[in-house]
Amino acid sequence: MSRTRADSGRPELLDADQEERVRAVLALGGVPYADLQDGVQQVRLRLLERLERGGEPPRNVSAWVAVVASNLAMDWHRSVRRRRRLEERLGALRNVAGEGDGGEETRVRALAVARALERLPDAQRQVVVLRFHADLSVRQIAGELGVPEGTVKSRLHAAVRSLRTVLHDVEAV
Amino acid sequence: MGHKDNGAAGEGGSRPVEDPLMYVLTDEPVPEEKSRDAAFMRDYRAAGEDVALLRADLDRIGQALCRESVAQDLGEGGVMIPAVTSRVRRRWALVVAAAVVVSAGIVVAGGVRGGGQGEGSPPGAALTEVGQLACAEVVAEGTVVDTEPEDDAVKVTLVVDRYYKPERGERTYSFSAPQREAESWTGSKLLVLVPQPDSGTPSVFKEGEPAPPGAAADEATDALVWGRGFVTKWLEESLGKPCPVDH
Repeated sequence: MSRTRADSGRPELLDADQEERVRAVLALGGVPYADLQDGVQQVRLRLLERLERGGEPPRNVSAWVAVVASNLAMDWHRSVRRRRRLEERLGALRNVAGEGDGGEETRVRALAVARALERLPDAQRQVVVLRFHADLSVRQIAGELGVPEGTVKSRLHAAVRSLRTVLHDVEAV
Repeated sequence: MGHKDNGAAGEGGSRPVEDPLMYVLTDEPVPEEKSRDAAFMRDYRAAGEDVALLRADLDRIGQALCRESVAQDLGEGGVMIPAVTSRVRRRWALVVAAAVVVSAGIVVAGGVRGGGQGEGSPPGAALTEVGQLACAEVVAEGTVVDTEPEDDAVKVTLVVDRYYKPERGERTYSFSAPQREAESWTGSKLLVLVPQPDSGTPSVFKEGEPAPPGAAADEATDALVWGRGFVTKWLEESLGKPCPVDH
């Protein structure tokens, strides 16, 4: 996993890998393409503010920025703009398997998963993205979000049960 | 699944990890005693495979949503899905058998019954069963995932489980329902006949609603089941026939 780089005695705010991850976490959390760059800038700003306040850089910058991005996505997702953008976001997925493996079956499944992800409660979607996309452990997620591990587990469990139902439904088609 | 999902307590809970999925989610090692339980291990492996698929899908989705080229193509349509296979139809048959009967949807086939019932009847209301289906541009069944108020109607969006006419279509399908009550349909399963332009209003058969008035005593009493039977019975005969409504 990438780390921030030293530059004139000061770390780069985000390296390319971290920025890419932030963008994906924002997108998976419900932020449309047009707002992704703003979201990345917001994450940079949060990190800069932390450093400007004299705080230590996060021990694991990648994990920290993923959590900040997921929180931003939750805020965005709660806004009224979400409903209008939902169809656009799902429409964007029609080529989801075009550059990977799997073809039609993968594409249909990914779309179904994306739709199910959209329907998850915000708190469940956040832990799914942090656990499976940002690769944070349950303990890390609990620590970063300031909630008990049991809460993370129950949210994760409920979310994955819902998503597995979708996987099985698509499998049957 | 062979094991109860008892690893997930409510919000804030922290019961011991006991079910196979929770072991996968937490990456905790499976205890020796459980590893000798064949049913447990089968479920554990299945959960692991599913989670691996979800991880891969999240990566794909994340990448797709971040691609400018894809974003620029927005709005040109969704994913094409095949018509439902016989395997799913068998599953639907089980759902139908278990369906609970309650009350009705919009134009609920006021016209489908060939009745031409009152001044609110659509242009196609006096059509025969075959005529109704011949005039239908789309016949689809699925679950409502979104409703959005429009000028004098409600845009209803389905995740389609099955297309009857045409045989294939996009994964999601939207139609305009004239009733305000449609705003409360999110989560409902329904079958809809959407007529060709200017040949009437959509007929909706919603699960849990009663079959339309005039349904025979030996016919299904649930609107969705009834509608499904109606389509199954008359669709083939209608194919290739012109819509007899003057536009």
